[in-house]
Amino acid sequence: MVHATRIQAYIICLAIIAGLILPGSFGDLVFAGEAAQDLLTAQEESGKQIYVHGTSPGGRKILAYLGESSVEVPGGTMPCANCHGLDGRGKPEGGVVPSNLTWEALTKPYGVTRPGGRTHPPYTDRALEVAITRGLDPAGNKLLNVMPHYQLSQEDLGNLVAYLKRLGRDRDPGLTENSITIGTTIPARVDLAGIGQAIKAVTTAFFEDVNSRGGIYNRKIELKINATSDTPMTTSAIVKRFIQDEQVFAMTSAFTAGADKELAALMDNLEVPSVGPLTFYPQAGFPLNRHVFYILSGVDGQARVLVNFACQRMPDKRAGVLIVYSDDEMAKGVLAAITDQCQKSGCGPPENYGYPQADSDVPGFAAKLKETSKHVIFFLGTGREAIALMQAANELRWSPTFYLPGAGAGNEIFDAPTSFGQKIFFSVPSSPEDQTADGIEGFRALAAKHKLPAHHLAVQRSVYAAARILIEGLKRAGKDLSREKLIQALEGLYEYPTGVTPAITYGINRRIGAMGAYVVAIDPQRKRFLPASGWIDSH
Amino acid sequence: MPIKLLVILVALMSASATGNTDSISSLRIPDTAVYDQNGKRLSFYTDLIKGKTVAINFIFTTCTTICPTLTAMFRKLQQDLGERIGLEVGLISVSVDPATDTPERLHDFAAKFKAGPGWTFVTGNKAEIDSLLQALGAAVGDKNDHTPMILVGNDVTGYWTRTYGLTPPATLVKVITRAANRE
Repeated sequence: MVHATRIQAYIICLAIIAGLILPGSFGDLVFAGEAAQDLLTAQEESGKQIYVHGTSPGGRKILAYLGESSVEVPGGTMPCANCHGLDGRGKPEGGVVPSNLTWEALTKPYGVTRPGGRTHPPYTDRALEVAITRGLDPAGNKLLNVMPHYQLSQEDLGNLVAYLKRLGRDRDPGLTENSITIGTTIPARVDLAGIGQAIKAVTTAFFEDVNSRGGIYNRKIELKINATSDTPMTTSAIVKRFIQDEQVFAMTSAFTAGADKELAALMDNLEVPSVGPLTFYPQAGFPLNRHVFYILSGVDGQARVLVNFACQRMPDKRAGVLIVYSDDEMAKGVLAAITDQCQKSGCGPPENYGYPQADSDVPGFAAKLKETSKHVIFFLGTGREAIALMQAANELRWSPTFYLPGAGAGNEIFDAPTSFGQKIFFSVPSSPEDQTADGIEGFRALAAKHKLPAHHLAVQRSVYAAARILIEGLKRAGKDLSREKLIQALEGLYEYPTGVTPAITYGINRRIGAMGAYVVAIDPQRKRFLPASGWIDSH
Repeated sequence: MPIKLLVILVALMSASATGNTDSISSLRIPDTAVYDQNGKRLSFYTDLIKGKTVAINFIFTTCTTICPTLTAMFRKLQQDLGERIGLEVGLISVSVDPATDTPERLHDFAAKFKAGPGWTFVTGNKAEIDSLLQALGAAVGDKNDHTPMILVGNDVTGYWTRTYGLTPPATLVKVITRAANRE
């Protein structure tokens, strides 16, 4: 004890000296001390997995037996946290009041009297083991029959009891009394360096402003940045190590395009909330990934809007539609969304055609499409491919209407044959109309103060929106913060104005903040885009 | 109406207190339009109750304390009833939180408990599910207060009974068999 005090005094002394010489280092030392104290030991970490998920880190069997009938279910169906809560205080439901499992409550020296009158002396390690495995309290009374009996190895049981001693006092990684570690991922590819700069600049600037106003409940945001790698697999491995090594509490504006599935699964696996990942392909279907909160609709969601728009314009819905897609793994999800939405709108089923591999095959392909006598094409490919098909169709004096979901095409679309002038429609998930006076001013002020780059403004706005949503979530989650509380706070956002995107709504079943899109047409003469619809909600 | 309410109250109170079953003299099951866990539109009475013996419990997927237990019990019941499920006896889990419990959510929930054919999870429009719950005597103001109750009945004979939700499956099988065999 004396020894520990002496070391503490030494650290404080060092810190004061360091603080005199290097302003700022004092804080760093305090952070380091606290973080170490908060971290769970390997044993407690194992126990936490059993408590929260009902599964053994060693892969050993954990079984739960219910009631007198001893119905056997896997431990994962009925983990402790289900009833007793992540904080151990119990979640009353259906007339069942689960006991408070925090160590102070379990070991009150004068024992415990339960609401039903059941009385027992304080718990010990051994008594807890008996309660977990045999359903008896320290006085030998039977616990309520909704408390399962668990069968688990002695090692797992020991780990669980070790964790119960920390329950309610352990913090999620990346959280200390005065800091919250937030991570982001930027693209490593040289041609995407501008996007990386935009993510870094806006996020850094935004959090600096938050910190200069006192942070969130006196916690400063500490930003950590890492970069993607060549393949989805290696990117996922790198981000995993980054989150674990840097103790990242939550992610913001992570660049996930190209590794969407892998990174979304990683966030779910590590239970790290991720707000506003940058991608065209959100992974927001069922079973729901609770940890990833997207801001805008992806290509699939936008395609649904285009289908509704197209179906309404069709004089005869039974005429049917075509889908032309490039050979792209990502197109499959969009294809499925279009097919599903066609069915819902009553203008299906669509016929699907793969875009030819060789340019020389395009005229023949166009002829084949013309023979179907259909006049609506949903096109999932590049702008260059769309133009080539339009030119081939033009040769055949055939001009079907093209619908291009998402950002499949850029300015090259203005090279479309004139016969297609009125027959090209895009979707965009957000438009300048979404920007409120407050949003424009807030973003402008941030840009001026921090000299933000003048390029990639759409990316910057998305990053800005993600930071605002994350900070709002952290504020609403309160001082007693946890990842779970952040998720619940975000789920509570309803029509939250970021000022630079459509208003954001999440929910228990919803992970896309602005579900819908605008439809946009082109003006080939003046080479500009024209709005063709207001906001179309796809929720 | 007050008499009917009283009957239900008494039945519920004694059911939860003793684990015994109580028969209900008359229960009119509405033909509410509902969705199952596969998003299929069903008429509650016509498709799920008519001509069958059924056990109905009440759950919601965000409930983590009592509902997994109730559902695990139903899972065991499904195993114990074996081939009788689907043909002779139907299991129905009605969501008391239809606004949250979309068919997709119910589908995930059902999969987690390995629900097989003959076990239908039911959700739908909130107002309609609320009136269905009212008719079945399972309506509650706050979903967290919903009582663990199982409704067992035989539509052919019009025999209905309520039992405590945590009744051991072996006992439940007997209650169901009694309902099925009742003239």
